Amino acid sequence: MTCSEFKELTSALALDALDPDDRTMARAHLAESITHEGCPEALARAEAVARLLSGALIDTHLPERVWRRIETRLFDRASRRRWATAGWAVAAAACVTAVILAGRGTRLRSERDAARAQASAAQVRAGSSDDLARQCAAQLESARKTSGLAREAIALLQQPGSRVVPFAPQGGFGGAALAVVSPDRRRAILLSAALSPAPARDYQLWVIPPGRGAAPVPAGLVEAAEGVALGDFQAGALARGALALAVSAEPKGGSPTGSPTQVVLVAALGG
Amino acid sequence: MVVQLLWILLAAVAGAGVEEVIARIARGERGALRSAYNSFAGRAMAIALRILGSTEEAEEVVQDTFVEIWRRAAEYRPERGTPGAWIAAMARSRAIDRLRERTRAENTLRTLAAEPPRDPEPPPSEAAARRQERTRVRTALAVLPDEQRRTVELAYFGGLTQSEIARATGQALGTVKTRIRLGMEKLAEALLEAPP
Repeated sequence: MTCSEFKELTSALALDALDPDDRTMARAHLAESITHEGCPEALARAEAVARLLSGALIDTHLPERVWRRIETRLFDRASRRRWATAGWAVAAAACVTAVILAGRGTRLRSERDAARAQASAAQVRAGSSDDLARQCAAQLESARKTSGLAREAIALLQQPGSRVVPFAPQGGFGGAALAVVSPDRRRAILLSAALSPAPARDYQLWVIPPGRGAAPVPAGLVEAAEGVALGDFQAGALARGALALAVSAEPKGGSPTGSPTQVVLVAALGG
Repeated sequence: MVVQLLWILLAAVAGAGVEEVIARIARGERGALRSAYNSFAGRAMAIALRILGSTEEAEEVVQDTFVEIWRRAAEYRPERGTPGAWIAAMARSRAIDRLRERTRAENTLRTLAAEPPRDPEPPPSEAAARRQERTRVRTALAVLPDEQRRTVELAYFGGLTQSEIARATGQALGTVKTRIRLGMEKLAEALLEAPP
């Protein structure tokens, strides 16, 4: 197929009106590593027109049941799936979901109760991590009241495939922390009751990228909200991927050297 | 409490542009999804209803579309179109998929037999920009020769390929191709080059 032939087809391609063989040939031509004579631009122009055509219609009113079904498909199922995994992470998720459900009134009360029952069962199974779950639950509940970032952590935790990872103390540090990590690892939010900044000290977030000997990437500072410390790992720092997350104790304002001064917490993300 | 929760979520997205709402959906914010639903579900429903001619199926398409938006919001690229256009394209694609699950013969007959549905009354809350957009697109379509407009509409709203349109209308395939190409070029001139 030549570029001229392709450009004859762009309108139909944009309307998805090409027959399968023609569509395959057209797409193959577009993917060819040749000097195209305006092929991508011609297709983009036709696609722009096609996108505008729906603007001719008048919006149609939808009954509220459609939104409720969307909610059910997206969120109820996600909650049920989350309860099915064992351990303290489940308990934390149950706690957060219960926070949301608590605001939903009578309609969802039975579901909330069921969630709590499942959370309790998970906590029993979790054994030694029971305390950690309770700590997490308490932290999230406290943070929910005041912090937009906490709300984002809650939303992130409800996202299917998200997970909670614990930080391990380093060098005798006495505190603990958790991070809620999105499925694609492009978002991570730290929660802790042990990392409140002091007048002469900040806690700094770090991302350890994949690759042997890769240097830690600074990812922002921990902030406190009513006794709960939260940290939003910067998206740029997570862009290259993350093998582990870390927190360091630093002079006010963050590391003066660009490297962690004293690492106090590390969480391995694995694979 | 529900209202309070809703207000919290709405406040979180207040002042944010529509593109920011999509970014917030990508970060897992339910309130942002509701905000996008409030803005664009009516358009998605109109498209699906026009294509499928069934309220029940169209509602299912809207559900599928917003479930997909929740899962694929991170893939949205502003440089490729507005969020409204992205969502509309997704709704159309879902509706066409559903249409093509029917037998081809049934699909073609239904499409040809269908009268363009009567317009509902625009919602009272409709934004002026939305009204202007509709007027502009309708004006551009109205100035096309009838056969070109009908052919483009059979492709866009009917989900028919060029060959199917040729068979269904009794026109030569080459004629159908020419009508689509000329019609789309005229629309591009009217919609992309002329000042709004």
